[in-house]
Amino acid sequence: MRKLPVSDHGHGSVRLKVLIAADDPDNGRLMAEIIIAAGHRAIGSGDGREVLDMYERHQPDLVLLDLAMSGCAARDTVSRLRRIDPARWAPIWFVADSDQEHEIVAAMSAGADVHIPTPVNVPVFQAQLANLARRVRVQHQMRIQNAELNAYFEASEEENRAARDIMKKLLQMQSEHGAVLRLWNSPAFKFSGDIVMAERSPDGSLKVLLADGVGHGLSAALNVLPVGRAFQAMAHKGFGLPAMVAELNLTIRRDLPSHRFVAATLVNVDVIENRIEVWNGGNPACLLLDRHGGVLRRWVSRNLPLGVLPSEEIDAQPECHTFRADAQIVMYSDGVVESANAAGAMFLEAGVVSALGGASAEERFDALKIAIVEHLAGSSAADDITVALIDCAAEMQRRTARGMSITQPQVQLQASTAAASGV
Amino acid sequence: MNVNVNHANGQARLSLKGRFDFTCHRGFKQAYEEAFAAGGISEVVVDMSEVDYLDSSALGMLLLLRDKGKSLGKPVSLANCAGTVRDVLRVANFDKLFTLH
Repeated sequence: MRKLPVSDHGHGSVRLKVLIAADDPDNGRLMAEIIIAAGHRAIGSGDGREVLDMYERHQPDLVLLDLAMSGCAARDTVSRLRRIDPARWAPIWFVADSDQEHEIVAAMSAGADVHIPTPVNVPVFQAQLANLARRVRVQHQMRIQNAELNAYFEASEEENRAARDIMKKLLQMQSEHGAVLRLWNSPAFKFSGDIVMAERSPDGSLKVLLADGVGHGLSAALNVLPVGRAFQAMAHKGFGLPAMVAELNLTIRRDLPSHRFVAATLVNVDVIENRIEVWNGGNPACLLLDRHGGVLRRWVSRNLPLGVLPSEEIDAQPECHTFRADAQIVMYSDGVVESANAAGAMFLEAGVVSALGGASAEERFDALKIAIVEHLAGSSAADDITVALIDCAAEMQRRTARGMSITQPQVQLQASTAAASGV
Repeated sequence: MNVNVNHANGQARLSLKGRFDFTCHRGFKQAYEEAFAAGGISEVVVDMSEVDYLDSSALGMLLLLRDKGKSLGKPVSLANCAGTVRDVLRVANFDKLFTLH
């Protein structure tokens, strides 16, 4: 990072660079001598026009205007100085006889900071310079710290971008999962500690994982990363939920520091076997809805989050329900339940159930999303918000299309291709 | 969050007040380490009566405390869990790990 020039003058002050504009050269020289005697630097300029150029060129710490010229010209010079680079502010001191009330007021209203009465009281004036030097030092330090903070911020943003890209690639979080799975994820910070992943097992069953890592931001996102990867591998190899639960638990305990646990809900939708299986460890209840959006079943968390217990102490058996082609399964993270509006009221499961029940099957997912956003009403969520909806009708259709494509390959080819490109 | 530590009859009582979340890590750890360091302590009780909210990081901290207690043979229990606090603990099934008073 570029260091800003600070010439330390001892005693916790700096050597000031003072730009003097005096229309009487003798007065200018006198002021310069006083300034140099106090250990500071003086740069001289003649009239008001020249001072503007020198101000830009030398970037002084202080401008001293000793202009016997008319108040109007002095005021004009002050306001021009004030318009130059407002970010780099230097005080303007206006030297004038105390009886020049009109000129002093004009200069001060245009932006001059201090009136130095003539004849100049040397010890008082030098004490004023010392005082300013201390403040300039603090200003310099603040500027350096600001620049450092900015540099940190930019470096951190760059790292965040890189980390986000890596995670996206590793987890292949697609925003479009076709008609079967609708997904919404809204991170509270720059990274989401929630993930939803959906994978097809070789037998065609659909496995969905909603994982919520402990904490927030990048560290939470790092927690769920190995879980997502293990889930993908297990699903591709055709493992059922009990084996998945045990493996994901083992992965967390092996790969993450202790107590970085992960709340997880695993869902298996199997049209062939005619069943839905759910295992919930630490997430809000997963809901099974009928065609009208009424709650048929709640799979509450009956287990500790993954990573807390040794795998052999976990009950990895999922809870089963018969598959229903008119049903929908809704999973959501605790960020939804705990979404608080400005008044501190939380959305709760009641909010979820009410939003889902008031909409048609096609509009249900969006209705929940809108209800959460409207509840927050501009307040920022304290935790990551994730909602996933599995549509059993779409899953059934996909299955049927596939099944029929075996017996009537030509007729159903298009439907089968379309379905295969979804999840 | 504020943490008050009281010792009486072999019991260390950590009374928490406010939001128990990821910002409390250092203060909470310091409090329970002090509690364990005091002599003549046989159990630790975390009083949650004045906790308005706890997040998943807080649950992680409770697990750390439980492990520390386990390694020293001093059981840790949670007291006065109500409302949101009770709901969060229940969803995480922490009643399987801690005695809740």
